[in-house]
Amino acid sequence: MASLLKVENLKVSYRLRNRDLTAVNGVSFSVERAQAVGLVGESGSGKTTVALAALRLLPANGSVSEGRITFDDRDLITLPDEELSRIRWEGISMVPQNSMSSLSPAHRVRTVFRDVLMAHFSGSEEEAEARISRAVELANFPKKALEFYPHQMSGGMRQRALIALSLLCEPKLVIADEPTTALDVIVQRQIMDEMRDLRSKVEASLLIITHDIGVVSEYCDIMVVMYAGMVFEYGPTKEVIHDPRSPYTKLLLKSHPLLFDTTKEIIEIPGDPPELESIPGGCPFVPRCPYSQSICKEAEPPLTHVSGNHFARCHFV
Amino acid sequence: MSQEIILQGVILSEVRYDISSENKSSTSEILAVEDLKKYYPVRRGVADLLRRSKKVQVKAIDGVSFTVNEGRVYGLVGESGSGKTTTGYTIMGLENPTSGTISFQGKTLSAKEHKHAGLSLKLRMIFQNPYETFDPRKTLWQTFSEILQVAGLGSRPERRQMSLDALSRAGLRPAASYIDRFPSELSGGQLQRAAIATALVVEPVLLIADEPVSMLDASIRAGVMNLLLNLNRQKKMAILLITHDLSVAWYLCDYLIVMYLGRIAEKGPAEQVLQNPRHPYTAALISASPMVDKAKWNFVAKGEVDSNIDLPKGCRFHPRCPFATDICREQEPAPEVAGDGWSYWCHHPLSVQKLKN
Repeated sequence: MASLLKVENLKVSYRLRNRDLTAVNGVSFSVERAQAVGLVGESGSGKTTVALAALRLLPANGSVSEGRITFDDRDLITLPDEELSRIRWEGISMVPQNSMSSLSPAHRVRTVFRDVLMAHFSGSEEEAEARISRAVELANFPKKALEFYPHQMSGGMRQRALIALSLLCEPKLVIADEPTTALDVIVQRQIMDEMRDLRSKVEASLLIITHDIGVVSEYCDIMVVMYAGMVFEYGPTKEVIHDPRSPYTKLLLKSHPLLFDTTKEIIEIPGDPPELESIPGGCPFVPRCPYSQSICKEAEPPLTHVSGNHFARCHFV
Repeated sequence: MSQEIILQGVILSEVRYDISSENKSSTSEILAVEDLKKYYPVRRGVADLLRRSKKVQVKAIDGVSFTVNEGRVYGLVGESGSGKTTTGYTIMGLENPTSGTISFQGKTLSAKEHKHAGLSLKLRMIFQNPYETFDPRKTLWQTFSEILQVAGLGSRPERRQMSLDALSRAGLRPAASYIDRFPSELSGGQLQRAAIATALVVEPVLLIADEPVSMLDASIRAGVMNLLLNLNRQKKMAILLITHDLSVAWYLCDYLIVMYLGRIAEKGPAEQVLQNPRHPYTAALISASPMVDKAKWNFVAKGEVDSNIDLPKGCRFHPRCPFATDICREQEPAPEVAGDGWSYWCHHPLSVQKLKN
């Protein structure tokens, strides 16, 4: 069977006043059915832009300049608007990061649920109610809170409301953009555990976009490491964590503070993440890479096959 | 270059162990917080006033005591609503305490004392968001110069040199290429280094760091953490680190103060507290940290932090605690001693065995 979501050589650029800025530069990866994929990167790595492009929600000055995104064998970039609006919610849904600004402050949560169903569901009143009940139960959202306004709920509860909302139309893929970043650590853990359990209850794939390697390592089957708009490493999460092959992934893992790490070494990556306006030719990680050779400045390294489904971008994999 | 980086890490960790193996009483106490309370009134509507309903207060800090010794790193940890940031602000004099005392270097600080310029030289604070630390319309040099002028230090050329030194020590090298920039011309990591430099320019005795790395990108975080450790080591600067992230506390802190809803749940030497916590809340925070051994740390607290207005009766953690019994619902736990400088407030303290079951 073909992949559920397939991103092929995607290039996205933003038009600025006098020039174009390439935010995503040739990204390819796929999400299979019932799989959890983690897209991890720092700010400016292009991870959110990939998700926005997949849902065709890029801001007005952004456009896909090259590449394809297919969902269930349909090309999302050229799909007519009516068909695309069917895919949103019913095929792909999104859990946004900021739960306060994602729910209408002037409406009860129930109203938001009903609005989505009105546009995407043709069943009877009872069936609609049953769907809402099932979705809130799956997301562990208390049913009585459907009558609340967003300001009456805690951050954790609002996030659960959004997760329930994303499941309402039984989508095949849920894209979660930093789903727990704004929450307290214990609630973060509760919600991530619930999202993991969800996958055994509903047949949905999950694409988690995050800056947090900890989240990816615990909840994703596949991880995609992005840097400067490119995929730097791709593979089964366990393999990438235990045997990272690109210097960026290696250093990122070593610089990640880990509770109970006995060496208590924090290894820092020198320099700053690249500014997209001034990415040097060759490998974009060169200015920060301790292993760089002269070839790295001249040629952009290819995404090299390591083993099985594991790829890394470096001249010296 | 890779060797250099790795070496730096090794050297730092070695020195850390030297410090922690020193006799604990060998450094002197510089800060003592005693039964500190900070209540905020809740604004009430006309209806409440007419009904003459009871005065409502948010108890942000409700009886917190701890001491800070010279040259050590203390972690103030907890979730939102724990009062950790308010504690930091009150020590800095950015908030006036409702009751309780704060003594710094033997002197009790009053609202008046806090305004005294001499104090601002010894006690400094950095914040989570470095973009809010700086005036966006001033260059770094203008900000530094103002700090030093207020402190009454140096002539103009001397101030410039001191600022350059501080920037350079904070890792912004060459400092001359940064000092005349505006905050918007620096990245988040660079600006947080500059914020640390504003604290350093006067070489404080105590630096209060409020979530200094939580806004920074993963690859820059380690650099700023190392910088803080370096300063602690080289300048014997004490640090009070306010953080929700135990993995950051694990690397940086000698002591931990775990707070929950305005009270201390547990405090003591960082490694001991983290490896063998007595308070269920400490264990819940550890279990929620990424990539810990899930077989051992499977302790997930229920629900969310309660409101600071309607505080739970008895132990404040009991609504979320799976070990809670009747006594926890009625009686606030008294402090118990677990070891040297290590105490906890719990009716049913944990042992590692209990966690495994």
